[in-house]
Amino acid sequence: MKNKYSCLLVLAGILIGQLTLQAQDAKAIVRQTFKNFAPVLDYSCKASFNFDIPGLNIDHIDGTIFYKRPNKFRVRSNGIIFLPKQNPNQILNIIADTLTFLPVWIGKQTVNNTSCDIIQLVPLKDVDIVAAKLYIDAKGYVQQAQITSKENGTANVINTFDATSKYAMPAKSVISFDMKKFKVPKMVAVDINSKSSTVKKDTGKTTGSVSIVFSAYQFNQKIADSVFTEKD
Amino acid sequence: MIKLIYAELFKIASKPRSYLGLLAITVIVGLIHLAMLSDGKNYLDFIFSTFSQTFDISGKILNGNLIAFIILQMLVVQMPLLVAFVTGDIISGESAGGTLRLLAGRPFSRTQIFFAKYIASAVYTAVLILWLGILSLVVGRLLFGDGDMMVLKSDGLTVIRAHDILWRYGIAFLIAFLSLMLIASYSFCISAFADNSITPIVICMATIIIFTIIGTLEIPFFDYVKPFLFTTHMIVWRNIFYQPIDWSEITVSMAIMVAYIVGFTGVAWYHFKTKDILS
Amino acid sequence: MKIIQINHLVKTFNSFTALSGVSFDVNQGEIYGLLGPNGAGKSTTMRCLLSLITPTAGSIKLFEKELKTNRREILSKVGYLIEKPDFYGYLSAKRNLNLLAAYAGKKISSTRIAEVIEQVGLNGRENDLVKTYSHGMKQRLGLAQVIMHDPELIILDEPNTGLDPLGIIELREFIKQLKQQGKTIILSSHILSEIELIADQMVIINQGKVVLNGSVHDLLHQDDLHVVFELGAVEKATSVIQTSQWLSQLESKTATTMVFNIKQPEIGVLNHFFNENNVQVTGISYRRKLEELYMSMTQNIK
Repeated sequence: MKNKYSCLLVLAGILIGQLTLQAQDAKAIVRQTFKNFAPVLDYSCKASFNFDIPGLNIDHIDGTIFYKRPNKFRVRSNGIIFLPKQNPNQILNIIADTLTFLPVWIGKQTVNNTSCDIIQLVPLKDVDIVAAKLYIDAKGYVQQAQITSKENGTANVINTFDATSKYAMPAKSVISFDMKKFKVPKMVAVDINSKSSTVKKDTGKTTGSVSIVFSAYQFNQKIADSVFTEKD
Repeated sequence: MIKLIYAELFKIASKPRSYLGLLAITVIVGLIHLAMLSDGKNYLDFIFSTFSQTFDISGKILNGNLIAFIILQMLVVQMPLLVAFVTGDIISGESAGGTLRLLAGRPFSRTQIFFAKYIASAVYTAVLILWLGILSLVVGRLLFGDGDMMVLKSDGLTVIRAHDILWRYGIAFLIAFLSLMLIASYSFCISAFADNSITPIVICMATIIIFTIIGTLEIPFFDYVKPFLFTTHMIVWRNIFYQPIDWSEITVSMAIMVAYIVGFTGVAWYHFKTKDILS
Repeated sequence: MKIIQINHLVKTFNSFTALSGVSFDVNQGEIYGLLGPNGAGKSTTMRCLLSLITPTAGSIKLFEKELKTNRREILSKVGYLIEKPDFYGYLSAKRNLNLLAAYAGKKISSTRIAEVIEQVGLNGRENDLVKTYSHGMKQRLGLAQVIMHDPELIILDEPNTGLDPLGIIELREFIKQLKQQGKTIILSSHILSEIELIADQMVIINQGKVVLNGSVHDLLHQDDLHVVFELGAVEKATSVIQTSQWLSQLESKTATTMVFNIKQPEIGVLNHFFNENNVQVTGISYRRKLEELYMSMTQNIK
């Protein structure tokens, strides 16, 4: 009888220890990830955008991304760019905001041929983001992120890194997101009264994606605040 | 014949009503530019609100290319009226004023007089569309700058890159000119039958309004009728701003418009050639 | 040379026949009068001459050539003014003439235009808009556009309409001048006296048919007037004139009147004759023969 209880106690101790270890691991993993880009106070980079969004017909375009701590983000280009609201900037903000999100280790998975820890970030306050799941590899790089917000549904970000990747900044990101049905005011639709307006092409697709290829990162260039506010 | 064309152009240029169309375009476009300067962002926010819920849209949305497009869309009904106002008066106005008998007894044949008037009408129509193009696109780009253009369709949105726009506008204006020539031919045809200036204008506008309303009604019965309404084809210039461009639809519509023009002009010519001038 | 040859001209408008076989010729250098009541077919005939109206049947030759097949050549030698003078009111007289010169088929210099403006008495007003002109001024402008290309044939439809007496006299003199220049003129008028005074030949049209055609002089004996003397004693007057020259000029008599065919200067002489022979003359009146002729030819329209 005494042995049974002892075994149970030992098992419980191991479990609690494991959980504690894992909790400490989740925090450590997130801390490591944060540490990777902690030196980055701001950055700019060239970005090449490609769009695959049902209902939107947009060609490839090049632009420049600007970021400044804590949450300034701007895309500038010669043309129009549609970025989902769940943009790459969000991941950095979530990881940095340790007071709002509690990291929980929930397992391992291979992503991009890399073994990753799955960290669930649980919001401790009532915020727009209701859940975030990060797939972080051994180097602390976020290989994949799934972010769910009240307003915009779920976005899935898959990052690709290469040898030049510095401060855990990806070389490529593919953002997939839920699509809402677009309601166009009839009077402003260009095909009103047109022959072709009676034929509605419904592809059945409900998700869109934007892929961004990053290059020529420049870090800590002391980007002025005006870059984020001046008009195009 | 050149002399006759020049004489007809001179008459058009001398009539105050010819300038009403140009003035109207200037005022309307000016007002739209003013409105866009003061409140354009809010207007576009409303139009693209459905997309703003899902996306952060960056770039220069409010630019001269988009505003030119909005202006062209808005003037779909007004432009035919401005054309018919002059072309509908070209024969019937002379008939009512008694000057037709002054011309028709001269050595030039009725056919020559007819086509001199017709060509003058075409030139006036071209001037109107050119003026519209200059004001909406050239002045618009000067005021609001260049940029990509967002074109809303009932099933989504197309973004046309800035470098890909000007040639589209060139073709769109050519097609728009063809559309307005259809109206000019129609009002010219009625003018050949009427004895006063008002009848051609009223009939022309009534026809456009009725056809446009029928075109808007999404009742299956009218689907059989719509392909035969010339107003259905007059708006095909918009298709230039689709991606990809359906050239076959554009070509078919242009061919139908040409057929209407030839038909109306042929009927008008035959009647003018053979009618007894009693006024 | 026959400038105008109209042969069995017929024109029907739906069920209404405006012309039923009108035929007449106009010789070169003549002034030809076209008379008839309203709706007789005068304007229709003139419009047919100018190809403003297409005849239903019949032929028209001008300058001895078929109008149908030689239209351009023929009409370049014709000047016309049909009904009231209408112009482009938003243009000046000079601009109107310049504009119409483009349609004339031959080059007309600005010098020539200035010349005709002066000839019709519009110099000083040539740059004013036509809509500010009086009817008389428009009529002058109408004549200016008729002659500016120096036509050989002039067609005038009711040119006297709306003119004051001075205007009528000026127009008459103008037409006579044109005849002296060797031009052929065909004109219609409601003012019978004008036709009587200036026309060489005339035709009366009634209900689309020619009812009378010929030389004015021959038709009217223009020197003679029908003078009606109202007398106190017709029998006494009859016996008095039995042995006088006046007997051959007596046309008819009633119980109170005697009608003589005499020239105008002879009216006073005859009046004096009656007074000398104690025949009381209570009144004298005369009617132009053309009026009588006209009335007799057109009375049956009602």
